[in-house]
Amino acid sequence: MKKEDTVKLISAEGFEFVIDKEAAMVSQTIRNMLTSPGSFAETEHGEVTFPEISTTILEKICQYFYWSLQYARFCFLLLIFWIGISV
Amino acid sequence: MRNMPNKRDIGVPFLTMRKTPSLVDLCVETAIDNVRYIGDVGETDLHLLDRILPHCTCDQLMHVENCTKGRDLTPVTDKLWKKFYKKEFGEKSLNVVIERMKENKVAFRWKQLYEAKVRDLTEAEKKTSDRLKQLYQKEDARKQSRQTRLCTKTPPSSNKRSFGSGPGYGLSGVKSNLMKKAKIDFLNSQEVKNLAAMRKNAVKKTYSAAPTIRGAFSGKDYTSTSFSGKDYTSTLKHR
Repeated sequence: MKKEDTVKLISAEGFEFVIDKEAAMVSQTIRNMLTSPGSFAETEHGEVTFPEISTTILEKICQYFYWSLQYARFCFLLLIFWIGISV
Repeated sequence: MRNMPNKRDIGVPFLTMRKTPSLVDLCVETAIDNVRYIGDVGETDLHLLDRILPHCTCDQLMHVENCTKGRDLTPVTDKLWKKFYKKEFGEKSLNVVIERMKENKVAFRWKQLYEAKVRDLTEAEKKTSDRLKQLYQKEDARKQSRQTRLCTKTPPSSNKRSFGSGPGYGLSGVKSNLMKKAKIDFLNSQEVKNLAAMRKNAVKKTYSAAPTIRGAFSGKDYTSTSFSGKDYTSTLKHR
């Protein structure tokens, strides 16, 4: 996993979760933070801190990001498969 | 182009073509699935409770409201209690309550109205069951009073009860001395003795009747040792 493709999410307790950028982009909030024009600390270092979110919650959120990507890919594949059958 | 495959063949894709559920949606769905375990909802947002609590039964909702202390869930639960009231007691009763509230210009929470109605019904039920129980007890008591019962009291002994045939009359019932003396004299009299002797003879005759029949068949004088009776041998000799 290259550093450019990853993002670090930091919880209230200081735990750091390093996840794929693609996974982090599932959240509109993080997407805006990372892609907004202007040089914020988030865009420069690829780190986002959440002082109100506890570690256990942030862990679940990271798991959700990956699940969401898989779900979307699965639906997409099924759609292609279904179209392939119907054609 | 081939025919479109039907839903049964594909099944899952039609379901998964919806938008990817958000984390909030997943959490709400999990809460709905486990609504029977929910107690105190704490500071959960009302818009989330609005999605979760309609899936509760009456008892579950009561439990949630009782466990959630220090917070009024009425904005969410009032309409749910109205729905329960209508389901339990009917639309007619519901309309009556609404009319009465309008007339009196008061507005009660539907939870309070529901609880009050349940209380009234249980009281009425209890009264009816108590009355029925009393009626049964009364009937039971009436039946019991008509039953025959054993008593330990014995009837008093009476002089008039002891009676016999002539000479067999004893002294057991006599109390007066004069009467006692008179009775003794009577029993010792000749007539009573004659009657007693006659009775004895009659008993002996019937006793000796069976062996004389056997003796008659043999036709000869003989003494028998099987019966010890003077009369037996004497009757045979007479023949």
